[in-house]
Amino acid sequence: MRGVPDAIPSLSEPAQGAKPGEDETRLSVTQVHERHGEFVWRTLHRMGVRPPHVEDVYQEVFIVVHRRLRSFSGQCAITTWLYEICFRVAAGYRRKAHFRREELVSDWSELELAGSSSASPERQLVAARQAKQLERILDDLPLEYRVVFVMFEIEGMSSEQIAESVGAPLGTVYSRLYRARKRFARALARLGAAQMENKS
Amino acid sequence: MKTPVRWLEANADAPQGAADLLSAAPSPPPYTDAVRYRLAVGVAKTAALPATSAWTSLFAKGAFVAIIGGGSGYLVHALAAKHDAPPLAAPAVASAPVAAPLPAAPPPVAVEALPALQLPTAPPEAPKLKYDSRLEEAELLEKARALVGSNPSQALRITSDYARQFPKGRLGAEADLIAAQSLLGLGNTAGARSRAQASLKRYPNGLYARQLREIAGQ
Repeated sequence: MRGVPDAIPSLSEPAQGAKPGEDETRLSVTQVHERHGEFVWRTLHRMGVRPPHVEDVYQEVFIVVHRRLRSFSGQCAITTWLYEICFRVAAGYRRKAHFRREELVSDWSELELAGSSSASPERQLVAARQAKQLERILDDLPLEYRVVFVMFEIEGMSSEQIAESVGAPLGTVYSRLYRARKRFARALARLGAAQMENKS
Repeated sequence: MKTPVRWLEANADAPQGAADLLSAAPSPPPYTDAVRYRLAVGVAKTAALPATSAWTSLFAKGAFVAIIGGGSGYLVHALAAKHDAPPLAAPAVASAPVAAPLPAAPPPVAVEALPALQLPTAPPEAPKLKYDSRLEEAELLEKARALVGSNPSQALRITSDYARQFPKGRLGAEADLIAAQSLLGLGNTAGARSRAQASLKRYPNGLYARQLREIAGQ
């Protein structure tokens, strides 16, 4: 499935996720990074943070984690708590990013082109254009819809995995997916109409 | 509840053009060791800072004023507490005992008689990372990895530099994979295969064994 990178375990400290029965309320900020950094990294990508900015936004997330970690009492999974922080930070990023969309979309597609040198130039051009169109449509989705849509339709995650990641019940996941699809379809129809208009 | 059919599946009821767009979704950059270590440096710097916000500092200052100035300090405290209330949870210092009702007005104290406030003169240093050299290795390989698609010969050169600089490097398997991918990018399939086979001998169960096996044709 597209969009799912190969899982690369860490070299020396493969601590991913909590060990059974372990209390995650006592983690230090660096331990949170070691165990859940990949989750934060992927979540920020799903939320539309562009590759050139994702490391800065990641650090913003961990500044908040650092400030609030002592107040995390284990009332939910730590990934759900991290997701909430990512959501807030990414929402701020999107508000800023909205004004520099053209630049961001260009960065995004260039990155893709660099990694697909085996495709023909024509195919690369088409793929780049489609990637831009996709990003524009995804950017216009509310963040909570976007995340669920990306996880389900692009990354091919199961509904249960999505529910666990976003810390929402399964019904909420389906409802967000349904609404995201409706908005996506409408945006696609508008795009098609605009292209027809340009041709005529 | 029945799981909906994904739009990329053959029998999905997707709107026209949706599958094409979804198939064009770029892959996000992988969370490599290099990325992880680079992020770890930033996180370690953050971890070295006090876990309080600017408004919390103001709270502390307000508390100091409250001690000095009696009742008027409550106003500062209230203002600071209002601004500092985070949406997720209250900071640990919010329960500082300063807000407790003061006893009868204290006798006036001369400012000169107060002990000097010890302020830090320099920001705390980030804790030393135990994997500094690995970070250096990782950064070099990250440069190479970024060039595999666009400039494989340069990527290959960087992997050679890596081997020279870090003959006992801990990211050798990743360097081999990048080198093999670069050779493929240059059209040197035989070279890529031989590099992958050599690496598999050194790291038969390494992290990148699966990708190396694919290149080696095993």
